[in-house]
Amino acid sequence: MVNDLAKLRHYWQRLVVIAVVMAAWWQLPVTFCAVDLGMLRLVCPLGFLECCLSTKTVVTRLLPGFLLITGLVVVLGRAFCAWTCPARMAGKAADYLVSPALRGPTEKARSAVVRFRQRLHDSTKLSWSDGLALTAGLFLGIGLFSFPAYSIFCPVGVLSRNLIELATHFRLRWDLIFLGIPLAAGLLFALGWKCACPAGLILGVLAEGNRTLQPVVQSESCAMCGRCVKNCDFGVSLHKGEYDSFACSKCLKCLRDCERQAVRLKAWPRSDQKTRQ
Amino acid sequence: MHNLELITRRKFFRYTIEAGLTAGLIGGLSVIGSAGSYVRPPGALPPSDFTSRCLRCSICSEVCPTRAISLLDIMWDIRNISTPVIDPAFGGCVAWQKGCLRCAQSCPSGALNSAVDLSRLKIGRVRLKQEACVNCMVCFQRCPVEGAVLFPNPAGEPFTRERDVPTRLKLVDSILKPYINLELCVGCGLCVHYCPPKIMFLDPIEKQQW
Repeated sequence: MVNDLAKLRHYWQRLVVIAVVMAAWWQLPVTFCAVDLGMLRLVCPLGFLECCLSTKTVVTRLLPGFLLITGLVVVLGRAFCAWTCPARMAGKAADYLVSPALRGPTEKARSAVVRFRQRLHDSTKLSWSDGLALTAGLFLGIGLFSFPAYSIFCPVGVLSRNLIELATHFRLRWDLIFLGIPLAAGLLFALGWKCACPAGLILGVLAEGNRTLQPVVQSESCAMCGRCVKNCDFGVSLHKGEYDSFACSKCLKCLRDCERQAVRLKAWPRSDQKTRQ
Repeated sequence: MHNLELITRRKFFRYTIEAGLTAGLIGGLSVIGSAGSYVRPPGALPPSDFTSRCLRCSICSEVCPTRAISLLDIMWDIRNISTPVIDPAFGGCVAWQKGCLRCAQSCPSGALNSAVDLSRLKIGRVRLKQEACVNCMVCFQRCPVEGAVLFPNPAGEPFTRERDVPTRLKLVDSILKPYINLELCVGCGLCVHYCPPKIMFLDPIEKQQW
């Protein structure tokens, strides 16, 4: 079951990319940034906030879609980050392609980068709070200068526009070089781009109210091996009995990696199940 | 207690600097480059409103049936990166020919307004290099607005339709060439896209009356 879900996530990510390309081919209004369903317009929550701030109005035509997405985030958490975000997928693909090349002769350089990254992390102690401060500054700048700047650099937007350009005009765009920013962040910082991604942070803030579909550690079968914590890309410390709905992206890696099947996905965890004795 | 307060204050200082730097960076980026004028898809808001409202989601370029809409790539006018323009290299806008407006109807943010009066709208102006023209009359056949492309008539009023032009006047080596009536040209770019010798150009309207 868990392995099926992991496979489903794997296929779902690729299916969404193919769906956007096919939509562009068939002239349907479906992108990673926005989906137009006639009267209902679903847009990226960050895009909605940017649009509101830079026009200094509440864009009422986008409000129903924003509320619907907020509701979805409350039910599903920030599942978008693990299940649909194409930038995360591209980053994983780049890592998969590059890391075999980095092994062997360049092992030393690789470990030097890892050590440098760790030292940078220890000295700066970057956390989600820094990301929230950057996002606050972003919103301030957008409001002051009426310029929705992030939509130009957003890795999801860049990839979405390039997929559509590929399907409509059979070419790629130069703005692919903006992907260098998250790639460099991933190389330099232990937390990578995750803690600076404003879209993910907005989703995290909306997901604070999430109480459903949470992974829960069954204390009686847990061996305290710490594998679920070590493998979590989003830094959720599950076996300590805390569930961080801000950070968890429901990737279900903790379920898959637990050797004793001690982590279960609970549709509606009771409060006594959440804390570990 | 004192220690805790110190840490909090230091963190607050750090967060303020981070936020300030980001806001400053956006301010810096927004003043680089001059606000150029572009041939926007039909129904676009005035330039500055359009730039601040457009989500850069590329839905307009996705739904355009002629693929005429392309998004601007990296350039110095950073405010307008990834905003849509009509690029006649890919196609022309068929709003006046077929009443299309699909881009404006599916624009999520309303940067393109679908409640636009096409009979009063102009999105650009076409330029024709007459000295290189071969009198193929493709621009006449493609133009959706009668009278926007004219052919000089030595005997009186210029011709507005290709079939009215006598054959002897429109031979390849004729000294008479078609010309654009900028009063009527809407700037859809169809003639530019289909022009066989590629001697027509689509320019933005510098001072447009909104």
